[in-house]
Amino acid sequence: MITANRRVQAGVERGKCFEIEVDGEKILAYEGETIAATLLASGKRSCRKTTKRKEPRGIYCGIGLCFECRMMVDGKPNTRVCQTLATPNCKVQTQYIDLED
Amino acid sequence: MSRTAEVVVIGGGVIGCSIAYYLAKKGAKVIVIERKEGLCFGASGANQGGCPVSLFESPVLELVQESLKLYRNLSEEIGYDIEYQNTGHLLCSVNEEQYPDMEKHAQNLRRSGVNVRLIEGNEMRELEPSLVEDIIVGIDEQESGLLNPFKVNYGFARAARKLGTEFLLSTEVKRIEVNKGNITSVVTDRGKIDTNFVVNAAGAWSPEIGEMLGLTIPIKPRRGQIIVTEPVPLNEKWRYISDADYLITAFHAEAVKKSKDPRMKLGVAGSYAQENTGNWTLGSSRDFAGYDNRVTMQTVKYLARRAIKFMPKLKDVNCIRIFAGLRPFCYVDGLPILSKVDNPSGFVIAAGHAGEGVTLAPITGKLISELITENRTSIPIDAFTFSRFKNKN
Amino acid sequence: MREVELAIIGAGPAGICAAIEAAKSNVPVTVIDENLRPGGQIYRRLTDSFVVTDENKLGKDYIRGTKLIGELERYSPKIELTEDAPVWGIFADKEIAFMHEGENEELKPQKLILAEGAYDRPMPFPGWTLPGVFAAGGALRMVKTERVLPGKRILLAGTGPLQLVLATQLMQAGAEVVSVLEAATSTVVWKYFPRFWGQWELLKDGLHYLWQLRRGKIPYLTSHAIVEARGDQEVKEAVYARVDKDGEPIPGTEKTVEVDTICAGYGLIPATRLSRLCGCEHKYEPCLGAWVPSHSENMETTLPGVFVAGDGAGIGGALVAMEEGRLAAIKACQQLGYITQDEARHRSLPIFKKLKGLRRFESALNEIFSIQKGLFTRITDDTIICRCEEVTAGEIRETIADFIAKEEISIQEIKRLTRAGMGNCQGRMCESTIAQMISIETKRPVAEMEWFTPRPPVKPIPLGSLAAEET
Repeated sequence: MITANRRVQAGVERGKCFEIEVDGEKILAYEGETIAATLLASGKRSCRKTTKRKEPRGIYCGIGLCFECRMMVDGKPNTRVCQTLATPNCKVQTQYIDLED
Repeated sequence: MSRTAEVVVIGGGVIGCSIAYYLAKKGAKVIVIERKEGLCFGASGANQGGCPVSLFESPVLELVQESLKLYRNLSEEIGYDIEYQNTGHLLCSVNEEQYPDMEKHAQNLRRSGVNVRLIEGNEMRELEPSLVEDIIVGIDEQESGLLNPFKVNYGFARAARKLGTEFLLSTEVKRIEVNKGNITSVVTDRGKIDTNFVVNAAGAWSPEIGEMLGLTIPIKPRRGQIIVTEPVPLNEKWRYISDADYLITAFHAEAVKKSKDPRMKLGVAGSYAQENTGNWTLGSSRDFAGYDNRVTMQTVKYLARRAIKFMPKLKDVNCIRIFAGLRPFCYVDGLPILSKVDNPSGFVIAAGHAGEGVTLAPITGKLISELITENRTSIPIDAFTFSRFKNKN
Repeated sequence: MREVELAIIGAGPAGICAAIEAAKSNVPVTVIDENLRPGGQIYRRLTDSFVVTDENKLGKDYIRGTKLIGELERYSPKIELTEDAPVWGIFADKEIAFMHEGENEELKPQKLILAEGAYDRPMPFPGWTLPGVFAAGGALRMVKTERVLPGKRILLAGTGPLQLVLATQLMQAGAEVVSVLEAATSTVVWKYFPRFWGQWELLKDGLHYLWQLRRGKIPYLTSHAIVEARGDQEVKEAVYARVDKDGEPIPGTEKTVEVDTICAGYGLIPATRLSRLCGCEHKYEPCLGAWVPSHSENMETTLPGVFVAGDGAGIGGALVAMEEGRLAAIKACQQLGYITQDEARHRSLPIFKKLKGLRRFESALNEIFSIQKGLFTRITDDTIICRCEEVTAGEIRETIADFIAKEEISIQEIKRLTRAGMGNCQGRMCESTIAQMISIETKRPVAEMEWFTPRPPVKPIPLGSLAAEET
């Protein structure tokens, strides 16, 4: 279980909490959070590896324009986690599209 | 500012640059004039980069086969990677009624020396699970390929330049001067070029050039729209797949006109090519809208629907770009024009390649270079003369 | 095809004010916004699942946003608002296509107001693609709206007032902000002081943020810029240096600092994908380093019946956006025949007056914090320019140098030859940089260049949603 909690408490009260699975590990999420927020809260910033240079990429623009935060979510590839809400038990995986398939 | 050239090529697309290269190889001093600030602004920059063999019949089929022979070694020859891949091609049908036509088409191809095999739906799906249940029969052929059309266009230009060809971009031809039936010069908005040979390789805009000499070139722009997807893992067996309806929409205008199906009326028939980067380009469509190269909602919807019909997995894949190209279509018989004209002497037309411009670029370059320097061609081009229109008027 | 009289795309401050203004004249107005709630970026609301216990902790802009959205809600019976609806295309004759609940929908308005907003200028430097490097606007969204810290030990680098807002928010949220690097020189500010005169609200804001940094003992280093982000799988340290008045790093002044997060804030550039797709004229604005749709004083573009307002019409901030939204709506209402020319003039005159002072202030900011040429010299050949297709600066420079007519090379041709701009972000992250690089290599002014050919969709959409109904 990832222990970092970088959530800001001031000014808000969060609602229900639940678990999601990220690359096999269970982490805590709150209702209303995007998966990106949940990842950041647990200190994780990287989302995928690029196809050509196999380099790590993560959340960058935060508003759904750069497409760097694409991950596999519940089997669906190319899901922008900054635009997708965390749901109980959803499965999130680091994405890598291998073209040498 | 005045220049001299042995040949002036009007048009910097794949056709113009290929002609320049093959001419330069024969030692000719060539100047290429292009109106836009780059090379790929016409149909050369708005296509799928597909070189299919099994879509054609005589007399174009023979040209295609020769052209592919040239493509296979081109990267090495010009020292520039055009990203040619021998992907093969699958032509397939979701319509039971097309079965006999498919058999006939396969026979025709075999007769022309193309190695094809008829393959049933189940076997196709075993080899390529992404194909839909409804596919009944297909023609599998191994000679076809996919390439990067921008690299082809630019590669030819680069190689031609190395051999002494000059390129004038952002330059417009104003008139062609003729004296006693012979071309003497080309006048552009940036100066004059003295020459005796002019090649009209201006694609969809070739009629404009023809008019400067009082010639009616029966070519008009035919718009084709293409959807581009984000990259996805490569298909297992076939990365180049066409819908049997393509044979109708591309080559049988009367059948299209008579059809009651709104999809057919827009000329939409599947043509699916997956680039080596994983992106799918999903075509194809045909309509006539003058020089309007904007994308239209209706066509896009039918393109998407047809693509999902053949490969249901595409439903969840994102479309990231849609573009349209203006293909030069000869409205008399749909065949390209590769020909000198009677008057003036020195004027050569190399245009009207419709949806086959990229496929036919190398062979066009070679044949036109032969036509100009030796006044004969290694393959007969009687079917593509300009004089064939005199009788049809 | 549903026909409406007035459609507004975007529910940020410009779109909201335009809608309210139109509602005041009883014009039926349809607003389409891609977010779940109105507010745009600056007035973005928290999720409904969080309960706001103290708005003061969420920043001044949050409180302003609450007020504005409250006003919008008061007019809501007259305003049709469709949320979670990204517009992906505009076709001939203003026909709009958007996605809503997985389906494709279409709308044909008589008058159209585009309030697309703006986004962080992407400014490459070596290592900027490492996880842990955030665009300042993205980091701000995380701390303000999602209420999470983007990292623990944070360096801010860039130029412009947004950095001050971010630094304050991060500090108040408990992050360790190591310093704020500002590429502009401090002395420049005084030259522009006369243009700040009269805009007390804005000046107060600025001074408030500077004071917060002081209190938090966060160094605000002017004439400094980041030179490299280092790390293997994510940011581990940052290298920065002093820069001269042109933004060029001064050799020998490099310092390294251990950080796990870098927030890169180089100002905003207008989102103009839809306005370009419409085909209206755009002008290049050198100090913004971006293209802006040309418009009349009433915010009408060169396409009759199509208006722009807000940051999408030129970076001016929320206050300018609100007034521009009002102007556009007033003109549209007049064109639709709901108000007379006299009434339109009468309502617009005080707005023109207000805008004059506001725009003077904002344009001064844009000039002070303009993107300097020197910032591009730190881009090494190995720096990624097109993030989506992984195209490096070296590849782009080579392509320019090798081109058959180097002086003529266009952005579109670079796209074709390198694939830069062909990815999911559709060129948003690389276009302005490529334009600058061509300008540097060929000495041609960016203003003379055309951009990537505008094509739909302006946002990626699933093929299934595009598809026609089964026949």
